[in-house]
Amino acid sequence: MSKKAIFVWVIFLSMLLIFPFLIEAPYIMHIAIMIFFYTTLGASWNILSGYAGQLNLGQSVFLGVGGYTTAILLVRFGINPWIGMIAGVIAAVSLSWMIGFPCFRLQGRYFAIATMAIVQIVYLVIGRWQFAGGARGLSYPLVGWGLKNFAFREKFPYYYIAMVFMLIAICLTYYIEKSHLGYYFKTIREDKDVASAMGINVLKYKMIAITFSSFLSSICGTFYGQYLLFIDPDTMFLLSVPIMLVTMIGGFGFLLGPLIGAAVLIPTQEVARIFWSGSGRAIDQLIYGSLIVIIVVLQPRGLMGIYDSLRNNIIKLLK
Amino acid sequence: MILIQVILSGISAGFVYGLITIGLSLIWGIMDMVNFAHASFMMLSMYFAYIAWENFSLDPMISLYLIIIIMFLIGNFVYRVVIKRTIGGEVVTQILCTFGLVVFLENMAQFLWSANYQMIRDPLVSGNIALGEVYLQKPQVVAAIACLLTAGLIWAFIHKTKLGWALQATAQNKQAAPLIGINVDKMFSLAWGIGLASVGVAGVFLANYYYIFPQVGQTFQLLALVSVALGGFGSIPGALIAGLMIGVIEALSGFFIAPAYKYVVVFSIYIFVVLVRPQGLFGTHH
Amino acid sequence: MMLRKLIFLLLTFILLSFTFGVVSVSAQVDEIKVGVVLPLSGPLATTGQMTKGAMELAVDIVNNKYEDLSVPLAETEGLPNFGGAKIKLIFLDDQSNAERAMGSVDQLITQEGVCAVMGSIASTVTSTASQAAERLEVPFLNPLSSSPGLTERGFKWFFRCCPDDDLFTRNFFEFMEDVEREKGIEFGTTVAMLYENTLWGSDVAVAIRKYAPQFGYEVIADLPYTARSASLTSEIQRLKAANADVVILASYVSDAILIQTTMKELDYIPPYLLAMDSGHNDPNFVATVGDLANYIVSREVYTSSLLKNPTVAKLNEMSQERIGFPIVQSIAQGMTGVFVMADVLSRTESLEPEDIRTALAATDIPQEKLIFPWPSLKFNEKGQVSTGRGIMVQILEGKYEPIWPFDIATVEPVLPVPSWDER
Repeated sequence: MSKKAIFVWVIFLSMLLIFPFLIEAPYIMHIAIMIFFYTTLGASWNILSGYAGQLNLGQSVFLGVGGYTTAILLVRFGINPWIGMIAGVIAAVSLSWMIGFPCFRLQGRYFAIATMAIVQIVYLVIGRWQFAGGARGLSYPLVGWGLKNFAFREKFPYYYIAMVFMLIAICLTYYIEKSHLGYYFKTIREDKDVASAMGINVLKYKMIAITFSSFLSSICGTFYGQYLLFIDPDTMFLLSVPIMLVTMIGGFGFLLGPLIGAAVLIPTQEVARIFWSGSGRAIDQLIYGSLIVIIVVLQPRGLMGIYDSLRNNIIKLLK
Repeated sequence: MILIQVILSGISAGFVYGLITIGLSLIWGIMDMVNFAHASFMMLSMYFAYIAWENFSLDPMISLYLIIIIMFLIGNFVYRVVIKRTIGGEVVTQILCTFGLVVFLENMAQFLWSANYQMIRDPLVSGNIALGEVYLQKPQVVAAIACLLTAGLIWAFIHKTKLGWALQATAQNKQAAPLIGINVDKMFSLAWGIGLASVGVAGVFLANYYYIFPQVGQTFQLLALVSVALGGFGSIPGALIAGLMIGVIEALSGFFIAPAYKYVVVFSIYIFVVLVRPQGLFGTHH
Repeated sequence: MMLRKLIFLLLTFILLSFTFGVVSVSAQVDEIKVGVVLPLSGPLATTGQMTKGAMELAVDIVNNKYEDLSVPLAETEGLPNFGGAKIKLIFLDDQSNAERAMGSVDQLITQEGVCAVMGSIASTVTSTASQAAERLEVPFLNPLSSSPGLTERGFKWFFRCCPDDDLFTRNFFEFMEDVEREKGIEFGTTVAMLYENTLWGSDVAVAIRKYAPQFGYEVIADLPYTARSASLTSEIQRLKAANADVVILASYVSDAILIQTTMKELDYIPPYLLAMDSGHNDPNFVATVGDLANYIVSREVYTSSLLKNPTVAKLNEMSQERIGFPIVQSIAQGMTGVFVMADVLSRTESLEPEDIRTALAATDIPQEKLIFPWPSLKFNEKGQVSTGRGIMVQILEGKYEPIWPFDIATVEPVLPVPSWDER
């Protein structure tokens, strides 16, 4: 990275760090937290579907498994959520291997549909599993506040944790992009037959991708549960679409895609909700939906793609 | 007795699934593209039927014909304006595009008609048919027959008309088709038109007994996808039979295991079939 | 390239910060704000909108002079202890979504500066919404959700001014017991339950399983269902196969409609059909299914025989005029919620949460000031109203006629339910 870029990143990070001190309103922090949250989730999806090209239409399953593992351990066994988070990661990653191993040899579309089927299955099963709260969900007991319990009264601890998760996600994506992993992922994405002809172990790299992906989604699941202090199947397993949209709008397959997508989409959604939701007509959702179609159709590479081509066009004009 | 009842319910639902699958299979086969928004368009047709009933007092059986035409035109329109731009691009983009359409359609429906559940009351087709101890719900039976007929019409079109042969040719080889004078673009547009028109038929008949809300397509979409995978695609009888199987499996699992688990069974079967026999039960290649 | 991207990002970030920093609402001194979260869109929208209408009507009564109404603060304008300050309700749509509800409550408390929050309808949503309030230590008053679990969480700031499903379920069995004894109608011994499987429905099921054996019944079919699957044919077929004497339903309105039409199609009707209110009491239910609804016994908190009370009659007129509906349960409960809130605010020492909470806990509204036929309105130590009770109504000719308790009944119950052919 150039010195200039590092400098800008440092400024950016500092702004993020002091932001809670500038703006104290918890409601605004909520939006910031949601931005970090969706960026991390979007990045997790981006790694598997954007970089490695394995379209996962049920990303929420990893979020849910991570979140539920933590929740069950906490609510039923009194186990500390940080430990629960590790357990959640183990569960989610194991699930990802169980999915990946047999399903990765499927053609792209069938894999995509399989992911839809899997998240539905898990959603329905949990919905009936009374130990996990069934469809009613589980209310987290208020055992105490503080870092040890991963539960806070104020918003800013959540802000910092979510920020750290986001940075982990971005760094991981950056590392992938710059390393041989990125190159292999890209080759597999473009043509997996060519990739294997080149001697790349396609299955191995797909599994690596899904491992990272499920890991990141899983910690988000744990976080979400601790944030809402409540978990139910609807909250945990139906987020696949927003996760994808955030990345698609920002730029599918780009490092900053999820961040830009989240930074644009979440405030837009909230502003629309504040101003228009009273009417009950979901204008906010409509704008959301229209944005999606327009961007995907016009510039499938999302805002980053638009930015890229704008830049290229400007450069061309200037030449 | 109740077993027969359950199976018959499953079969009548199955014909509806079959018709939805056929449209999906058509688009997939001819254009090599999965339309994730297929059932969302069905949702549109259900709303059209509702609006015709609510505002113009037209029974669905009457508004059906107009809706078929409207859906066909919408199919062409959506193809030209949206889908066409993704042809030749990455598969991922195509999938995401139709996915985006789902979000758009659902939210547009919510915006225009609110998220309230709507139902057509007292349609022409209502009541039940009693066969001894077994009761068949008339709207379901009529829907089943309608779907079967439509499937037959589509099959006849594909296999007995020139235009239909052109479609088949395109499906078999998109690159070679232009060489024999087929306008591939027009074929795609036609495929979308027929696909949406047929799902429109399913929707209008469903509107007789289902409640209508923006997300109503979601379950049907997944079932149709499962059905296409089972029935292999490019095969209309295959799609129909797969739809029937799904309907019966759903009904039986709902009854014998638990209603909440019926979809778990269906989706698990999808995964099993797709892993074990990727070309589906009846398909040849993909 | 990286640099430019980052600058772009930075600018967006700064821009957004300013936008949100600037959006702040200045508090007005002669107005006391109370936040309300309700499902104004989504599957419960009809109930949500009616409740909103009811609350707006009630707050109008509180804020202005209505001498002929015997409800809290009707004869004054605004709150006398705050110099006539008016109560302002701020409504936010939770879209029947738990996360939205939480965000809405946060927004109401921190952005809008409300002194208390009210809401919602679906018990799952109320659960998260009230949790947000509990975290921020602000009183939360729930006038409509009936899941017993809500007041079992040990919350300090959560109060509910309507009875819960545990009580209502017991009312069902008490009703059957009374009718058997006084009217000689035999209910049989087997019970089947069909219920929506989120917090509300599941809690009803738990209560049924608890009380059934106590009253001599056996639960032979336990059928939870998900509203989203939108076809209840398998469920009704199983119900038919179970052939129980008494079937108890707990559904929201759209499912209630579907269940009834499916039962008709499959030619099934149990001898005794009890509905745990909610969907079955929504005006859209009878409006949609018409005659099919007849003979269902539902539990209510409000019944039209209460119109004997002149205040209730007047409110009914106002409701019809301004909301477009006569008083139904959600309207009655919505209004009661606001009246309780107004009563609390008229007694509180200050607008500090702790004081409002104290005033809430001390609430004691006498029967004359209530819409409901309860001896009074008081909260127990868990924040649950301890003095309420349910009313059983039967749908006859499209109307909800009270049949129990016998002292407010207007007709004799028509039981067992006639089969479809007999009608």
